Amino acid sequence: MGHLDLVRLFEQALRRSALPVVYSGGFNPRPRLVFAAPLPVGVRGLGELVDVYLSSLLSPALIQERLAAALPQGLALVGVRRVPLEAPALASLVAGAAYRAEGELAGITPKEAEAARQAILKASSLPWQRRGPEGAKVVDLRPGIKQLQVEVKGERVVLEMLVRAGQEGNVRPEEVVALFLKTGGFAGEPEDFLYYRTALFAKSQGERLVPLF
Amino acid sequence: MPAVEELLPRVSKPARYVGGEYNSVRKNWDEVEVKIAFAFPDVYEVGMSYLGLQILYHAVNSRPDALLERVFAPWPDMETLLRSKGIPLFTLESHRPVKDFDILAITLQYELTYTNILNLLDLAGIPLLARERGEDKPLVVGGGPCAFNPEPLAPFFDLFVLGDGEEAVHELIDLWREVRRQGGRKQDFLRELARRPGFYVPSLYRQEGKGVVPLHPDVPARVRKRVVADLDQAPFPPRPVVPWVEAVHDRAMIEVFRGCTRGCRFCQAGMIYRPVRERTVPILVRQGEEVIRHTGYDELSLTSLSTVDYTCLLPLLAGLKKLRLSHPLTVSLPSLRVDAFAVGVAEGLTAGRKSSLTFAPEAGTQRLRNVINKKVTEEDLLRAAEAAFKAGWQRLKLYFMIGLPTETEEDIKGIGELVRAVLAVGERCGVPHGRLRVAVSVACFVPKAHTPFQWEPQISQEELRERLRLLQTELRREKRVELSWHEPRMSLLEAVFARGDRNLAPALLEAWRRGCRFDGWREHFSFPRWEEAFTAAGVDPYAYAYRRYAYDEVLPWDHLDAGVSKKFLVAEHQRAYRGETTPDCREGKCVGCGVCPSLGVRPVLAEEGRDVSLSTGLS
Ligand code: SF4
Repeated sequence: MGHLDLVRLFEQALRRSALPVVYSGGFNPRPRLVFAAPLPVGVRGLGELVDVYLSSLLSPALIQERLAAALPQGLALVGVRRVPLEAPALASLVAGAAYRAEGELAGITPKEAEAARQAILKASSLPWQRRGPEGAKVVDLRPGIKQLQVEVKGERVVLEMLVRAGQEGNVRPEEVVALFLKTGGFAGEPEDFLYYRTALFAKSQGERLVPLF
Repeated sequence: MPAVEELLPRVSKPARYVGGEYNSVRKNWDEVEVKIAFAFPDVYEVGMSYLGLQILYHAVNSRPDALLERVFAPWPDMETLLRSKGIPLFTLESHRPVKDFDILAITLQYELTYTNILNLLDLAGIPLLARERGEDKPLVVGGGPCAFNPEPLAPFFDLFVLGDGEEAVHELIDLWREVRRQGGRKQDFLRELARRPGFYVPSLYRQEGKGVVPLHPDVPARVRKRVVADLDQAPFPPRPVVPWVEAVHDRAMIEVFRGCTRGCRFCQAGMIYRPVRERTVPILVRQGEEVIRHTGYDELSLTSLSTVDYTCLLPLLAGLKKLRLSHPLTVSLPSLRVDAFAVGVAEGLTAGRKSSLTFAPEAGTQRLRNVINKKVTEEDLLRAAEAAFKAGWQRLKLYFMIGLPTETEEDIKGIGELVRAVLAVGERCGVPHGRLRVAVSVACFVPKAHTPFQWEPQISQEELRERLRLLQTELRREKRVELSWHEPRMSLLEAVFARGDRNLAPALLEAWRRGCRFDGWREHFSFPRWEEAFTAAGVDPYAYAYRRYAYDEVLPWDHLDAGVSKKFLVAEHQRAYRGETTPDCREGKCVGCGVCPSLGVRPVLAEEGRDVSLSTGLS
């Protein structure tokens, strides 16, 4: 599902909840809400964040109850927190994201997987061809990969990664998987993996990333 | 079914296949006796805009003993995947194979979805021909407007339902249960059903010449359509399924009335859905409120064939305005009547947002508008345009049809003149030069069964293109006109199937075998493939589309009774050639179309004192 579809679903849910949501002005008033970071198509979000503006102060528990009931299946409300109006918008804070990628690779051993992981983390630079709307360009993925873990059970491979997100230096989870496949010489395609975004992170004290929620 | 999960990341729009949307209903399979899969033979975004689907979904799923799950035509990427993995077509709710259901109901909205229907059956693993389907295969049922001339589809279906489905579906389920409980077979069920109004079992009839006759004495020679007499009493879905992704018409809908008696002579919907049956204001306001609360839409569309004609439109709008909702709501009308009143209503609704307004004058000259019984004058149009421009619209959209019976060069030039007149009005009203736009959308006339023009030929492709060129030349120098048209070859195919008989079925099969899918989509439509299919099947498509059918010949749909009498259609056809118009029976005077006396119904108007029944001869 695309980001705009998700926004549409969330707007509908807010209207169904009958909570005192603030609506934008104009000809086509919409609930005022801002997602922290658009979820890439094909990635399932397990910890997405959204700012919603309400016109009166309600207890988070009540909001949780009313909104959860109005959400469609598959869109679960993990938690509600009160944020002061003057706090910076979530979207401006996002600097990192944690992803999980799950797939199967025939014949892979934990040792080989670990070797590939090490090679990636030890590399000083990781040049990567990225195709964008303005054609291909080469970027260095290495600074954007903060953590990488690999678990292998039989043929099942799970990669957990923390990468840079937001305005600059952002790295996509399929790129890390592709890198992993290439580095280890494993036969497989990034498209064969299932992707989850597990958490969003903000910067704290320089380059350190801390969970936003 | 984990297999489905794995397919999703590999297709372009996975949301089309997942199910589980808000308000969707998933029942316990083992606790339900009758299982129906409902197929819309086009993509999800199109099918989810269709109110009829939501009505039946609600009607069936409200019964504890039955369930109805949805399925749509898979896009080619999904089809390829399903075929390569050998996964049978599945429903959205439970991801179960369609072939596990008792009944597969398919809605027939448009002739150019027919190859998708065959494709659905094939992907489901259901033999295409009804006679090759055993007791263990679902019963395949069709309904919707094309069921009024279903002959080209006859070999593929077990049953067609004619007319309003919301009562018929219960009768069908009840009988199915009864027959199955007694250990009866499909044939027993169909034989019994065939005796009841609204149910047409094609295998109990055969084609004789062009006509269709029953095979047994207890099977009626004509099948009469079903009509829900009182729409206020009919079930309405208060909790329609809200699609995951934006649908083509992404808004809440309430059906203000069914049927239209304006009597445009080319319009099939205007004939087969007669008589007019309006809902009353309090019911509509309640339904509007429920559907908005339960869906979270911010737009409510008041649907019907011509909503501005609703006798209580202003009270309805006032009632909706008074609703106390927690969020802002826009009310919209799907189409506008060509007059200043309609523009006034539209203005009241848009609250400043003025993208574009649409009018359908249909023909370029008064003479031709009289022929088609479109009771709109040039003055009406110009006054409507003036009202629209003065109210702040800068872009108008005009619908026309070309290739109409008796059309000449004059009429095409007339379109050009009308468009220029509208532009002139825009200039006079002070619309900034750079902003003024008139979008002209042109459809090709397709003769349809059960209309006064059912005997008319479609004009040839060459002629259609010639007239389109003429229109292009007419409008060439108008930079502010955006001209678009329907692909004439699609309209040809539509005409072939709209007036076709059983001999077309092999051609349809050939076309599907040659890969025809999504024929209503320009990027998929391939006329050469269709030509090959017709040749291979030994069928001459032009004999269906380009031939003038005779009054005294038996038509392939004569055994299907939409209520409107042939006598009336003939009279209308003749009046067309004399350039005479026929009034709307809403005005209070029955014009004798025959629906009311033959079906024992009457027009129902919400406004008091406008009951037409007195003059129809019914008490
Ligand atoms: S029978 Fe008369 S009143 Fe009834 S729909 Fe036809 S024209 Fe109208």
